[in-house]
Amino acid sequence: MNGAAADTLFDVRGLTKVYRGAGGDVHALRGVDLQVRRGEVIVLLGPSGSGKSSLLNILGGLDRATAGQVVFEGQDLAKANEKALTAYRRRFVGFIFQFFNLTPSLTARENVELVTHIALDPMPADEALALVGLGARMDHFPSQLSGGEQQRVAVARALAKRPAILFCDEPTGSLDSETGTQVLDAIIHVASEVKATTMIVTHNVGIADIADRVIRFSDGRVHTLIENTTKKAPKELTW
Amino acid sequence: MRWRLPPLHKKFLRHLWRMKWQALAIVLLVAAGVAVTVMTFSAEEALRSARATYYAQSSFADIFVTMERAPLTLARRAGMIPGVTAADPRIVANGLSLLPGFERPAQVRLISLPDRDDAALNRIAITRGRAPAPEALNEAVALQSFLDATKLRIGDDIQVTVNGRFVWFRIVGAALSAEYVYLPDAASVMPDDAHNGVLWVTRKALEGAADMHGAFNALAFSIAPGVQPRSIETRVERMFAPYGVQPVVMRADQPSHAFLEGELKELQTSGTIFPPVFLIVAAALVHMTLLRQTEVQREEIGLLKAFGYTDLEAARPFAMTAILIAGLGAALGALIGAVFAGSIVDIYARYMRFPALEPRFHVAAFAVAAGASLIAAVTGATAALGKVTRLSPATAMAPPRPDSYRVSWFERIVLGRSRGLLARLIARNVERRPARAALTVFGLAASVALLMGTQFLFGALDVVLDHTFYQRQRFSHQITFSLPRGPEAADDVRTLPGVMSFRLVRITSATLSNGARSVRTAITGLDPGDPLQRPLDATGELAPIKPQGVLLSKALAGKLGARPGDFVTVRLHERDRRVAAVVVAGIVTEYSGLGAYMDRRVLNTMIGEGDLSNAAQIVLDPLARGAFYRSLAETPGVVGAQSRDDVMATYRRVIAEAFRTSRTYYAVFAGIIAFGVAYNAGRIALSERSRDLATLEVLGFTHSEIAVIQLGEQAILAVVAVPIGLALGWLLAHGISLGYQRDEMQIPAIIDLDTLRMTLSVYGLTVAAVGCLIAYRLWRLDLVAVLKTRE
Ligand SMILES: Nc1ncnc2c1ncn2[C@@H]1O[C@H](COP(=O)(O)OP(=O)(O)O)[C@@H](O)[C@H]1O
Ligand SMILES: [Mg+2]
Repeated sequence: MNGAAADTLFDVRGLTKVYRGAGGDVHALRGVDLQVRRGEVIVLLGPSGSGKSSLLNILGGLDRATAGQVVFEGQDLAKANEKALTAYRRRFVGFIFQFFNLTPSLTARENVELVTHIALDPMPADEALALVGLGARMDHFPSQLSGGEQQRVAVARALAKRPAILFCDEPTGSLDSETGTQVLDAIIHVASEVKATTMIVTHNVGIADIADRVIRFSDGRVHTLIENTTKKAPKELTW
Repeated sequence: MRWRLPPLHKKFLRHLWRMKWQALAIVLLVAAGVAVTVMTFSAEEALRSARATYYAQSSFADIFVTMERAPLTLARRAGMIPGVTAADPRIVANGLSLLPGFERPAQVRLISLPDRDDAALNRIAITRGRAPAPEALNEAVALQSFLDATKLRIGDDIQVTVNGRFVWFRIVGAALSAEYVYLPDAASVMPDDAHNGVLWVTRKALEGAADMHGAFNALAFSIAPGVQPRSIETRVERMFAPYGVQPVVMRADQPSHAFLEGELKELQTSGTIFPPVFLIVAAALVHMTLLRQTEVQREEIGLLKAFGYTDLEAARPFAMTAILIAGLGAALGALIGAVFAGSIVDIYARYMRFPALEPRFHVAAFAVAAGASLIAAVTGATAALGKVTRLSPATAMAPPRPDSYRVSWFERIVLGRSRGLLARLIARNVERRPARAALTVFGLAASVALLMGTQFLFGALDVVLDHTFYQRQRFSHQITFSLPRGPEAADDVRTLPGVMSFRLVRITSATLSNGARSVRTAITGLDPGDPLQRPLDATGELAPIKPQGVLLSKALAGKLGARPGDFVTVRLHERDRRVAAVVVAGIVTEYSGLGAYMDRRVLNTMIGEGDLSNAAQIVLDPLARGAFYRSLAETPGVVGAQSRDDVMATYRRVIAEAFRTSRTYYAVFAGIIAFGVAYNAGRIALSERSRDLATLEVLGFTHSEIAVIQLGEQAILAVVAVPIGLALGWLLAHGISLGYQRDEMQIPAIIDLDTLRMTLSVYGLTVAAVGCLIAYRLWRLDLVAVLKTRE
C-alpha cells in the first residue's frame, strides 16, 4: 500500500458536485473514484455536460466539491480553505483552456512571465516559448497570433512553472486538426520535459491514443477506465 | 539579472493606458477638488499671514474709541487702565477735497501723527518720500492708494475743507496703514481710492485746523494678551462719558479688519463647500469605471486566480488605479491650486494694501484634500475590489453568459406599448443598470448645481444693486453735514445747482438690543411719506414710516431675533445718550447694511433736540453734476458726498476685476464635472454595448441608427439631470448666500435668467461635446474586430 501511495498523485473518493440554482439542482458529479498516478497522461472522454470540466475544476482547486475527498500530497483539497487552494494552484497546477485565455494586454513572453513571476522554480519564459516553437514570436501580442499559436503560448505559460499537474480542458476544441495536433504535440513534449502529470479533457476520441489511461465519463461518473497499451505520439494521430 | 517590471504591473499599466481618457477625466475632477481647496486656503493663508505680520509691525490697536473732544491728560490716565498696554491719542477730522480731473470731491480724513513714534499704535509705513517735519504746519503724508488713484505726486499741494475752513498741505510722502489696508467707500462699501483719502499731518497742524489745542478726539488702545477687551470697554466708556464718547469699537468691527475677516470667511466657505462636490463625483466615477473594468477583465481575473494569484494580488491593480488617480489628481490639483491662488492674491493686492502680500501654499489644506481624494478614490473602488475578491477562479473556465435583460417598469412607464425598437433598446439599457444610471444623473446634476451655485452670485448682485439704489432709494446723491443743522439747512441745499428735489434726514448711531443680543448700527430718521425712500416689506409692499416704532432691515432683525410687534431697546450715542424701548413696526427688505428707520421728528425728540438733520438726500439733474460738486466743495460744513452713479461704477469696476476670474474658474471646474461624468458614462456604455452594436450593424442597421441607440441613453440621462441639478443648485446657492453674508452686504439666493442661461449653456455645450467624442469613437470602432474578440 505504501508503494502505491507514493505513486499516487491524486486519490479521489466519492466525489460529488451539485450546482444549486434557481432552476433546480444540477448533479454534475455523482460519486467519482479515481487514482491519478505520478507522471501519467490521462485523457478524459465523454459527452458534453457529463461533468468533465466540473471534475477538472475541483482537482485544479478552482472549485469545491459538494462531498467526497480529493487527497493531494496528503492534503484533502475538498476540505481546504480558499487560501490553501490558492497556494495549491500557485505551486502545483498548470491550466490550459479551450479559449486560450491569454491576457490580451500582454505579449507572449509577458503572458508566460505572468505565471513564472509567482512560481518557485520556473524556467525562463524565453525557454518555455522556444520549447513550443514560438521563440521568434515572443514579443507579439495575442491579437497578432493565430489560434494555434495562442494556444501554444498557453502551453508555455502553463508549463513554464514546472507544475506537478497539468489540466487541459478541451485544448484543441477551438482549433482545426492540424494546429490541434501541433498543440497536443507541444503539450506532450513539454509536459514530459518538466515531468508533469497531465489530464486532458476532450470529446475527440481520436486524441485518446496519446494517453497512458483513458477515462470515459458519463452522467457524472467514471464509466470505464482503460489502460492504453499502444500509446502514440500526437503526430501519429488521425482525427 | 536585469530588473523587469513584473508582468502584472505591465498588464495593469496597459489597461490603464487603454482607459487613459476616462482616468484622465477623473484625475481632472480630483484635481479640481484639490485645486479649489489649495487655491482658497492658500489665498486665505497669504492674507492671514500678511495681516498678522503687518499688524505686529505697525502695532495695530485692539480697541478704538472716538469722542467729541477730551483733554490730552486723560489719554495718559486711560493708558493706566489695568490690562491696557498702550493708549494712543489722535486728532481726526473729516473734510472734502475737490481734486483736478475729478468731478466729485474726495472724502479726506486728516489724522494727527503721534508725538513719539515708539509708543504709537497704528504706525504708518512710509513707502515714498518722508514724514512731515516736526511742527510743520503744512506738510502731509498721504495714503499711497489715494496718491496712486488721483495721480497726485509728492510735492503737490492739496486743499481740504475742514469744519468750514480751507486748509492746505504739501504732500511730502506716501504711506501704508494697518487701519486702511482696505478702505471701503462709505456708500458702496467697495474701494474707491480716488474719492477716499487719508492724510497724516502733525498734531500742531491739526490742532489749529480742528480746534483741538491740548485735546484729542480719537484714542486707540492695545491690550495685554489674555485680557478681555469687554472689561476695558466699560471703564473706557465711563471715563470718557463726559466728553461725548461714541461706543467703543473692537478690532473685530474696525472697517478694514472686518472686511478682511469677511474675505477670509468667503474663502473658507468656497474652500469648504465646493471640494466635497468634486470628490464625491470623482468617487462615483471611480466606482462606475472600475466596476466596468472588473466586467471587461472578468476572465483575466479568473485566470490570474486559477494560476494561483491571491485575491489580494488580483485586486491590487484596481486599488492601485484608484490610488494613482487620486495621487495624480492631488499633484495636478496642488499645481493648479498654487497658480490660481497666486492670481487671486494678485487681485487682492490691487485693493488690499499690505507692505508685503506674498503667495502662500497651505500645506495642511493640501494634505487634507489629498487625503480626502485618496479616501474618495478608494471608497469608489471598494465595489470593484469586492467584486474581484469574490470572483471565482472557475470563471476562467466558464464560457461567457449573455447579460440578462427584462421588460422594465421604466420601459412600461416611459414607453407604454407603442414605441419603436430603438426606444425599447435604450429604455432597457437604462433600466438594466439603475445604480449606474443614478450615479450618472447625480454626477451631471452636481455639475449643473455647481454652475448655478457659483454663477448666481453675479446675477444676484445686479438684483441687489438695482433694489438698493433704484427700487429702495430714489435719490441720486447724498451729502452729509459735519454737525446737525436746523430747518435752515433746507435753504442751503435748495440753492445748490442742479437740485431737482431733496429731503433732509437725520442719521444717528445707536445700539439696538433685544434681550441678550445687541447690534451697533445707525438709525435714519425720515419724514413720513418721504418720496425718495421706499422701504419695502417682504411681500414687496411699501412699509410706511409711522410715528411710533422703528423699521428694521431683514438682516438687522435677524441679528436681533426681533419680529414685528417686539420691543427693542435703542441706546443712542449722541448727546445725553438716552435709552428708549421702541416697537418694531415692520421689517424691510434690504441687502446692504443693517438699516433702521424711524420718523425723523420722533428720533430727534428721542435724542433730545429739535428739528435737526445731518444729511440731505437729493435728486440731481445729471447735467449739473459738475456745478453741484464745485459749489459743494466751497460749502462749509459738508463732510460727505455720495453719488449713486459712482457707486454703480465702482461696483462694475471692482466686480469686473475681482470676480470675473473666480467666475471663470468655477465655470471651468463645473464643466470638468460634466465632462468627466458624461465621458466616462459614455465610454462605459460603449464598451458594454460594442458587441451588440456590431451585431446590429451586421444585421443592417445604419450608423446613425446605431448612434441613436448609443447616444440616446446618454442624452436621456443628461436631460433628466437638469431639473435635479437646478434643484440642488438652488440649495447650494442658499448655502453660499449664507456663507457669504456680511453686515455690509447680503447676496440673496436669487437665480436670474442670465444665470440660468449661463448654467444651461455651459452644461449643454460640455455634454454635447462629449456626445461628439463618443460618436467619433463609435465611428472609428472596428465592428468586425469587436465581434471576433471575446471581451
Ligand atoms: N456553474 C454552474 N452552475 C450550474 N450548473 C453548472 C455549472 N457548471 C456546470 N454546470 C452543469 O453541470 C453539468 C456538468 O457540466 P460540465 O462539468 O461543464 O460538463 P462537461 O465539461 O463535461 O461538458 C452540466 O449539466 C452543466 O450544465
Ligand atoms: Mg466542459
